[in-house]
Amino acid sequence: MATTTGRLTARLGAVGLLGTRRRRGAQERADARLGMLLAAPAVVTIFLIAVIPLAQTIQDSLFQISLKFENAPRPFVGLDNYQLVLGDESWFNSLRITGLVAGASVAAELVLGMVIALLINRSFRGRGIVRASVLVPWALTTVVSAKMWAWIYDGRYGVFNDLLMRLGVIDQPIIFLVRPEVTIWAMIAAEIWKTTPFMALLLLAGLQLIPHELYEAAALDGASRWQALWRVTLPMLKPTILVALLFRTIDAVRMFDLPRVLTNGGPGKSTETVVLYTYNTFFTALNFGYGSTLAVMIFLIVVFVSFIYIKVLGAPTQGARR
Amino acid sequence: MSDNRLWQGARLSRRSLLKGLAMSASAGLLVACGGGGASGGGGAATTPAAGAAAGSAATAAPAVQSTGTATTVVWFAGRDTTGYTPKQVEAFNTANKNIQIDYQEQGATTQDLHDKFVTVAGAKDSSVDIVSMDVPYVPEFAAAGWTIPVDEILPKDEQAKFFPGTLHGATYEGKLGGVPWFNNGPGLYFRKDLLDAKGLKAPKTYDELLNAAKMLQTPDIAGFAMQLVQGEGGIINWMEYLWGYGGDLVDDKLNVVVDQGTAGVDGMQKILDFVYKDKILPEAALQFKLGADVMNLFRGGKAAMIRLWFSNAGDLYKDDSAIKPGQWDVAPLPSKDGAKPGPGCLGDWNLGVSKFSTKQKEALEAVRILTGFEFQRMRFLDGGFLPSRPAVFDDPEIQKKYPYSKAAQASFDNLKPRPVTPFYPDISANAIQPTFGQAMARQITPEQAIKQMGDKMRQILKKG
Repeated sequence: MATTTGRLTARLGAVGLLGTRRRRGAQERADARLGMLLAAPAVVTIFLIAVIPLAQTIQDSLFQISLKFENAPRPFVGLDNYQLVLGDESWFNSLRITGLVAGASVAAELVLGMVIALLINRSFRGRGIVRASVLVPWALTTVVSAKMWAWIYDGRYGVFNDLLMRLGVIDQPIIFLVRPEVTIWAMIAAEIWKTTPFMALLLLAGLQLIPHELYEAAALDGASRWQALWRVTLPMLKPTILVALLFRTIDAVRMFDLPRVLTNGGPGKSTETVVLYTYNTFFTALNFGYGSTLAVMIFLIVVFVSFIYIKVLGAPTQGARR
Repeated sequence: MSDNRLWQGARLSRRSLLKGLAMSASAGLLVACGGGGASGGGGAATTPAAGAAAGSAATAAPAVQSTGTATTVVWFAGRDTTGYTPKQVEAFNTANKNIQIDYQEQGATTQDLHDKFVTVAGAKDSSVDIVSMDVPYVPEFAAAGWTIPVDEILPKDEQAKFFPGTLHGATYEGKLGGVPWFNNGPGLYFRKDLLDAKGLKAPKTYDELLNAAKMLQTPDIAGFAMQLVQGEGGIINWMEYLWGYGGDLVDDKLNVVVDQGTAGVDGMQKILDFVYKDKILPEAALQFKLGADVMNLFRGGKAAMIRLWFSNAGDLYKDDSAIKPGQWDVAPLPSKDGAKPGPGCLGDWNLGVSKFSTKQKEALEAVRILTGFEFQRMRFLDGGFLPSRPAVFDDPEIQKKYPYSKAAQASFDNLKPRPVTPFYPDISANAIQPTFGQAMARQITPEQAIKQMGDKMRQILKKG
């Protein structure tokens, strides 16, 4: 057990999760030991539920595994599956769609979330109720809200069509979920509606950490409200924005339940996200080898996105803090 | 900050913390992908009876405690919106002291049931004994080695008592992969009162259907309706037109023939014309995921004729139906020339036994009883589920209760299964549904759709 923990610590040290440099003095060593002890349950849990399946998936991705036929051979194919991905038009299609959905929804959520956070950060009567009600869309299970949006967009009974008709914007109902040029935006709108509260919540927490003295000092220096926003609020909020963007982008990249319930990828494959495509490869094509490869690709994309965010947005933050 | 020794000692900077978070978040995602427990509604519900409406979680019959020598077998089933099956399970459990059934519905749609069973069987897990199977799943599960042949409980003389077409759909490589449990096929529901008023008879050809629909159509009432969703429920309707024009998806040797000849294109064009040119079929049908969507249109008095499964007829007897018995009837499907009824797609359900079950003997016995004459008769009489045994139709009580039973029986003699191959679900989801969906949304022409469909089907069949 002790050796396992030791090896684990060494590994984690190598990936930078636990710094092990420059330990001086018995007190510091004791503190470090305590720290590791406290982190151990979490590390073991992550190992069991994340690292082991991850390793298994990576291993499966190197084999050709089809469950279609009993006792079918499972030949080792090396990186062939990865080569297949690079020539897989459906995969690139789903990648484009995922990129569009993630980019558009996260950008809109950031702006809207910021506005909402700034609003509910002010003190006014009934703030508690407003704060709580803002959170409702996010608190709903995605499957439920997706079903709800399916009804809102419905061509015959949908309230959205009804509204547009009453306002005279359209004179014929639009079947939103079967028009490729409209469907993807309908889906993005549903996603924005659902996750903007999460963005607002994170940003609100960040806003409340900004010391009030900074605004007083800015006001003394004659800064306008606008200048205070750009020169005080946003720079101070940058770490929070980074975390919020990171969480939301990763979430958007692995979007599955909304398209699955709202459109099931249609019309055609115009709303098929990478995760939905991966899921279909596993469960309808029963292609577990290639499916694992696609899953590993998602993992790599997420790692890449995280890396970019931390590199691009993280570095100046650290500089500013010094 | 500087006096926080623990923080310093462990040197957890924001950066490394974030990196760690990102790693674990993405690893978690991978688990979600690889591990599989899928949730969510939507998807393709093939046969309405079990696919059916969205809504609350699965309702299971009270779990049965095994008492004394009784063996409890677990039954994975699709959602039964009529709520009848749990009652029948209760009847089974009361009548059989040695075998008790623990009935478990899996999710809202057929696809949910499929994916759950794939997860369990793929892991060679023994927690399922009996599984309900939609037609395409029989060859799929049999080929994968997840279900065992059930020939032993259905000797040849017993097999002769089933509809041959239905039994054919449950046969994979000469062996029965499951026993047909209830039968299903489509019919043309029509408003007898409206047709009579115009002096019309139930249409026998596609052209008669078009003309009747035009005459009956009002701003409030659609002339005709059927599911056109990008999903199993929609592509079946196109397949019936493909067959109706003399084409097929594959030949006996599984060679792709869908793009040979013009049947595929003609069938698709016919449907598109119904929607966009003749405007007898509401565009909203493109989002009808469930048979119940079509039925609700009809029983709400908003459609003069619909193509739908016989299993949906039960809803017309409910008190909340605006259309009452006597106002409607069901005819066989129209065809191209009217010489004989148009081909309908087989949509029955089968019961199979899991290969990984540790109680196969008891599970097989339960399947034998559930698919037997008496249980099928009860199931039709009380639940409205059509039987896979023709003899049940001869029951006078049933003929009295269900005036359409003769039409159903006639249609069952003319059913065609979807290609009986383990590749079908893959073909359906990845070759047919996307191309059909694009064609219905007029993104591509029928010619392009059929060509892309054929190419993709060949690719899937070749890949293996």
